[in-house]
Amino acid sequence: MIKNHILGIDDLGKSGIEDILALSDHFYEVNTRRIPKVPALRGKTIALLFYEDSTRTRLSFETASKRLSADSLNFSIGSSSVKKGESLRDTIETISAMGVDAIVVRHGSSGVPWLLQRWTDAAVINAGDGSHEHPTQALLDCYTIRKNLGELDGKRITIVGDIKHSRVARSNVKAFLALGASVTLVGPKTLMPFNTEDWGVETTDKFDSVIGDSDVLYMLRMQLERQQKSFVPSLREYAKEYGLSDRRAQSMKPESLIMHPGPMNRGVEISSNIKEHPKSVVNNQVANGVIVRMSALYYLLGSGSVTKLEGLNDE
Amino acid sequence: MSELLLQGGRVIDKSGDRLADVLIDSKGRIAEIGKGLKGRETLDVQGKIVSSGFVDLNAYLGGPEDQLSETITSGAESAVKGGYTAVVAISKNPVVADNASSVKTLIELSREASCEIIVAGSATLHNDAGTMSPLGEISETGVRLFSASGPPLTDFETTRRIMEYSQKYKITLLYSCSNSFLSPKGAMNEGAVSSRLGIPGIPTVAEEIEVFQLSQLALLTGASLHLQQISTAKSIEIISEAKSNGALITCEVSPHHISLDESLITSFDARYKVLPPLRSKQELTRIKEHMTSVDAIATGHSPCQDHLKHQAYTEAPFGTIGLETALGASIKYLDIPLEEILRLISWSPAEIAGIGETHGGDLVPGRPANLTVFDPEATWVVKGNQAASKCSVTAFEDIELKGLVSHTLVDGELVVIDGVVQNHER
Repeated sequence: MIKNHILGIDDLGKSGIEDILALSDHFYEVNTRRIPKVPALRGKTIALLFYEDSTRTRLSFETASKRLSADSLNFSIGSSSVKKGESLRDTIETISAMGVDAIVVRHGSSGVPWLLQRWTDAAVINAGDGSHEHPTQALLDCYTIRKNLGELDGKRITIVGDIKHSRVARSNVKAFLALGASVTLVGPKTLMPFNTEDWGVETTDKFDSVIGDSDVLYMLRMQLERQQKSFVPSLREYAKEYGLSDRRAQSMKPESLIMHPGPMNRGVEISSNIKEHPKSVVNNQVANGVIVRMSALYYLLGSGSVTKLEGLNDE
Repeated sequence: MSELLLQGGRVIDKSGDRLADVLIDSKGRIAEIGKGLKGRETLDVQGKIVSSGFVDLNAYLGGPEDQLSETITSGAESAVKGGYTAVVAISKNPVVADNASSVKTLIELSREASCEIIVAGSATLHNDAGTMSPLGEISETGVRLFSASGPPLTDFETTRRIMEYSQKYKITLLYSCSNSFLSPKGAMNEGAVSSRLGIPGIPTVAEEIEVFQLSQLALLTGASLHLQQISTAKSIEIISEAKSNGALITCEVSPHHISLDESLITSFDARYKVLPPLRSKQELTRIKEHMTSVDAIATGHSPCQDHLKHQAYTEAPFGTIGLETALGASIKYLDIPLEEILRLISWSPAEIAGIGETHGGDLVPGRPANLTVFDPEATWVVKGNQAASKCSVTAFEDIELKGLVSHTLVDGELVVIDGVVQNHER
């Protein structure tokens, strides 16, 4: 398979998503082994280029690389390199010149992975760009839903919170729709994107009206500084209107899931013990994150096909 | 300088459009316009348009404040290559234009340039945007255009005082209407595309509110205003209404706002990051329908060091170069007669800049030969690395334009020959 990059969900398309989810079943099995490590990407070098702090996503990619026997290089670059006079392009060309096979990039500005792929021969994986996309999060969320509820086709998924600033929401909407689910976005108008007409979703500011119909309640992290910027009057009021309380959780359908991309603000978007709620698959998401990222790396750098994998036998 | 004859061109000026030769005397003045003229040196301009030189009302030429982005020399070379014979140089940093001695220095530096540079002053002090600069002292240097966007929009009182005080000196106040009060982090037009890309948006109403406020203050005070880089049709309607009520307001639109739209930003290439931002396709169409109410096309030429544009979109600075692409973009994207394009790019801005005696308007014997010769049918593909500007990042990269300058004459001197900027000694 010849795939160059994983930039956004639209570029992958339904078939790309399906391929990576299919690979994930194999890597799921690898992760159940006593020694969960395979030589699939031995000799490959993966640069983790994080312009924005993200312990979870970085660790997840690093773990995935190691389990595939790839060498990973960590670059934690503050945006200070801009001030030093080096452009993003200079940095990428420097790293490319070291001979890396893939660059996993996280950046606070929308579109950076799209710029990168013009400046490097390495495969580029978007680990989150601004408020734009976070495709591997969407893939791991699809995988988690599929594992727990079966196919996404026909499912009703409700995403709640700060949609406006959320790359998770943007990637998830595209991925959920591609797999046949319907999506409702919930939040105050201040935290909704200005225009969602062409998104193919329903929107509402009344959370309670959609809880009973939802197969998945996907709670987004509320950035605490949003309160200072007058997006919401207070976090208390936000929690009251849009937080997943125990009472709200009780009105959920029997076979339904609570999801959250982490890290969560307990007491804000979800009440303090919801993570441990029987419907919560939050820890599941984290575990699946490693699996799906192994699949994503293998999808770009591995040899063989989805049906005939190479390098999955123990060393 | 010897006598020069521009032979066989199509001369277009306010008085009409005719095939005629233009004879330029040894003092760099137009000696005669007519058929069958003879001159010592002859330049064949058959098939081309001979018009008054273009006048840009809004260019940032770097200069002493920012030599790495552009110098007055490189900026002027970029200007003449684009057919401009006069350029209004706007400072980004008021420190260089908020007092008479600094302005004198700028004027002095500009004398060496290959075209006329009209220095704009700053109407507020560098270290205190809420305080008026000495408009009287500065205007004694001959400056009559002042950037007045210093005070925040909410400081209506200072804005009003400046408008009132300015009138004694017959000056025109320049306002960029891109206040960020509705969108502190805004980096592109607000709408469906910004929502999809997750890039903070700048709504069109932000500009329209400011245009409305300024036009009402102009009516209240009677001041003369020029509004820069207008990017919405509604803004133009507000200005037209204020004009019909007696306000002394003019406005300009940039070549990129009549040609390029926000969809280009889906590439995340910072070359398309300009202020005001590229608007929607629909807005672009509406703007083009309002061009008869627009007073000038002005480039908003805004060079920066190239590497600053090789950053993430939201981190890169705003601005594109524009002096060399203005004619080509105007002819290609505006479906209007050449006379109307010349009104927007030469005649009307010359009046607004206060240089109507020497630039723009009618080509008559006795006037300095500030002329542009161009082929309105020539198509060419923009390559930023061929620009005369120090900056090579242009929003028009790889786009085919129509209309190309072949010769530019400043005070009778050929500063551009066959599209090539000449080594200049004045």
